Amino acid sequence: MGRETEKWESLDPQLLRETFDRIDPLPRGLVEDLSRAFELRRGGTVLARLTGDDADDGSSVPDPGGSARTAVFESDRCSVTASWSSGPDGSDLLDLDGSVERAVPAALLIETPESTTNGDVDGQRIHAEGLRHGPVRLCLIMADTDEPWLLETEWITV
Amino acid sequence: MGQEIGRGRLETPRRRGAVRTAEEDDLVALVHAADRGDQEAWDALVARFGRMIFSVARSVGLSHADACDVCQTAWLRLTQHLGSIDDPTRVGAWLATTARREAIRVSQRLQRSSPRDEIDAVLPPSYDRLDHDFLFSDRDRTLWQVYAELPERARTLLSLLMSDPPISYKQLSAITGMPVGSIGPTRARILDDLRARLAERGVTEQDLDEVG
Repeated sequence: MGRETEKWESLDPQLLRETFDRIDPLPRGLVEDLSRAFELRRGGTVLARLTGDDADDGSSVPDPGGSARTAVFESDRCSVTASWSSGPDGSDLLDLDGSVERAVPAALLIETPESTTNGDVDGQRIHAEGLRHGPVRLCLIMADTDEPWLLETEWITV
Repeated sequence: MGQEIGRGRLETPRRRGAVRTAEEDDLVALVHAADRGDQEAWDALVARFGRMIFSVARSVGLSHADACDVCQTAWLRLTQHLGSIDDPTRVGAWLATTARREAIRVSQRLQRSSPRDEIDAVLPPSYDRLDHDFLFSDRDRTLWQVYAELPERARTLLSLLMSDPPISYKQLSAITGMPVGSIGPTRARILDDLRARLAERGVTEQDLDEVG
């Protein structure tokens, strides 16, 4: 190994970052968006972790004409199954259908970094329409106990 | 399975006999402070790892817009897990793992009919920098082209080398799926390959040192 190779093998992380900053700069506004993400923290809620996602095997995804993409979120107190599919008009917007097990939701919020949308609840079924692609989480107010409690799913990219 | 958000536990288990570096101590302090709600600490984490995580998402072959979505998701998910990361010194690896998984999911959506192994063949990192293109030097264009020609795992590994403090081989293995024993030789091979490809096109390491 010559000296030149040794230099390459000890490639400086800072040099790499500077090189990528030049050849593939961070998009305008990304750092600000990531900074603002911190404001979307919420304490005192139950987190449902993503435990299954059929996008992982590429079998079904919410593309125009495609079938639904289904993700499963689980917490100790309940599980949520949510399927996103393209709307009937073939637009880029998505519909959401899902269900809750082991708990009874009273309200559904669909949150993105930019907006919060109300969804519909019918028993243990949940539904919403006209959703955009991008980061999203579901927030459910549960009414299966004397004290309502809030569940939020992990963020995923739809 | 589930956890209550906002009542996190922050533990900093260390490998037996391992001594934490000053950079790692600093990182642990940042994660602890962010978990307590310190916006400046969060911004410092973004400044430290934002570049790397964006490159990890891009290395899978996503456009700028899709890579931004994936970055946001990874960082948003960190806000949910700040208090439950077992070892805060691994927060960079945690973000990289999350971003890479999300990026692959998005790639699956975009290329649903292509097997995963072929993603990099059909979806190299896009060159969607039209508004910056006129500022590109020939050297930078060559650098990007050479990078885009690398296999997907090589691009990811290269992105992960930006981490400071460095990500351990064990963590690199968990992120990329490569055996631990092959990380070192693969890394050396990638850098050799990169150097050879650049040299073929007239770019030397000296040129890289003259970044400006």
